[in-house]
Amino acid sequence: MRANVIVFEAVTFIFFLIFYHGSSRAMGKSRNRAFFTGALLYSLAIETVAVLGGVMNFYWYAQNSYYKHYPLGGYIVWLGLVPLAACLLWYMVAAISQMLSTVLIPKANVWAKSALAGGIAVGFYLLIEPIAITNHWWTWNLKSFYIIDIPLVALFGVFASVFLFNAVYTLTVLEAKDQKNLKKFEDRTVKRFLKTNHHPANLNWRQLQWLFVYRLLMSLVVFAAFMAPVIVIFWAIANRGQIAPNW
Amino acid sequence: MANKRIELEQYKHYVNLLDEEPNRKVARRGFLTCAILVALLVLGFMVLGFISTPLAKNPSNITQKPQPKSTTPSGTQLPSGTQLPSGTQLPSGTQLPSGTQLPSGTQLPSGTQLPTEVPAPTPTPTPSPGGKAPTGKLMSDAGTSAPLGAVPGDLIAQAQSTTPTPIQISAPSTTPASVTTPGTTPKPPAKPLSTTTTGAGNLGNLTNGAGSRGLAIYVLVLGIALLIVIYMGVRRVRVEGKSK
Repeated sequence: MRANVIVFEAVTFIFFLIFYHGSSRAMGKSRNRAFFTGALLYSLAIETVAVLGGVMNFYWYAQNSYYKHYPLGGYIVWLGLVPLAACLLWYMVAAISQMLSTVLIPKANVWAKSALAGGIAVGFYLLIEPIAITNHWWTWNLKSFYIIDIPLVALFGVFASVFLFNAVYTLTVLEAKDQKNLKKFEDRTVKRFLKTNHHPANLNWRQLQWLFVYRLLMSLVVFAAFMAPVIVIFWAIANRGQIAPNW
Repeated sequence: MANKRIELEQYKHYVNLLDEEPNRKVARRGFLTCAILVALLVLGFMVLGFISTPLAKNPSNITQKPQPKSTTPSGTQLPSGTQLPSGTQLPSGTQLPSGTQLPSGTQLPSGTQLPTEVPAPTPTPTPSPGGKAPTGKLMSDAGTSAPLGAVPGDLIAQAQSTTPTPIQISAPSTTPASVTTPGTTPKPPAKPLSTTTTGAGNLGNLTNGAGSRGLAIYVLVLGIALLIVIYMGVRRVRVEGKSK
């Protein structure tokens, strides 16, 4: 038996079905649905940009002779340029990190909980990445600084994405709050769209979901702003060159 | 009346939230399901890590170019005396009989069986700019009989071609960047970074370390650390369940 991409995809799908059932009970059905949808779109957006920017790719199995041995070549279900399994894996890691951080430090503030969640997610990806890259589930193409063939940019990216996603989820869905520095901006934009000026705690579920989507979009901007200098710094001290896009 | 309306709206919202807020016992069970599942996932990744060790031992495995879709099936035995064209990529597991001649540029994947008589690919000499590649007088070390007229020291090609054709190489045009002013040393062009890592940057080095158990130890240590974190969460939830 080889740890090829089909094994990874099948295992991820099976685990996801059971995990989704469990997290629906742990978080509440609608909250879990919001978390899942948000996580799927959030990871999809980040990984699509990464593929388009030549940071990583998922095409190794589609290019080589495995195509002859495995009827569908590589991954079975794709969301554009990214396989569904990669997004589901991110969802499971982000959700368990959120749950563990809430259980381990229940009285800490949102930022501490989110930071812990980000740290736990990095731990998970430190385990996943060497196996993933060895078996070509995905390939890092970026010119960057690598440790055991994992670009440090990827680990920073996992921390930042899980940290921001959990912070937004907690501040919007779990403990609906207004951010002092963002209140004016949100009043002028999203709350005008929702035709309400209520405190997030007084919004109905549908409005809260739209606010969640809006805040996730804003957090993607913050993520991009954080990652840009990180990529540049590791580009400058790179120990591995760029693999050409037509590789 | 307005107050009543606001109250009703808020009531509606609270009803929504009550639907959302699951029973603590149900929530605890849900968390335990997720935690056990993720623990199994971690164990699964540990097993996959052990399985992947032979693959990870190859330092260039990660950036290895995928094999192209070739028409020759894997495990094919080539007939004796086959001449392969330059640049051929052989599929994995191909068996080469004695007498097969490998020209320069032939890529041999791991698993290819080479008989002792098969000569290794000969490197192509780099011609000087503006010159003609001396394909006519080449002699490989493995050569047994020199052609007529060759003197000792001449290079004689392994290829069986009788009429050597000179390769025309156009002279590179002189660009302003290549013109050096007297007194200044020309700066060597910056080497592009290799696409394979070295030292701590390479997974193969970790895997081959500690008696070829480096990756297994890494996966084991990290997996156990994650399992401990998950166990701490489960323990907290169970203590909370018992106290209530």
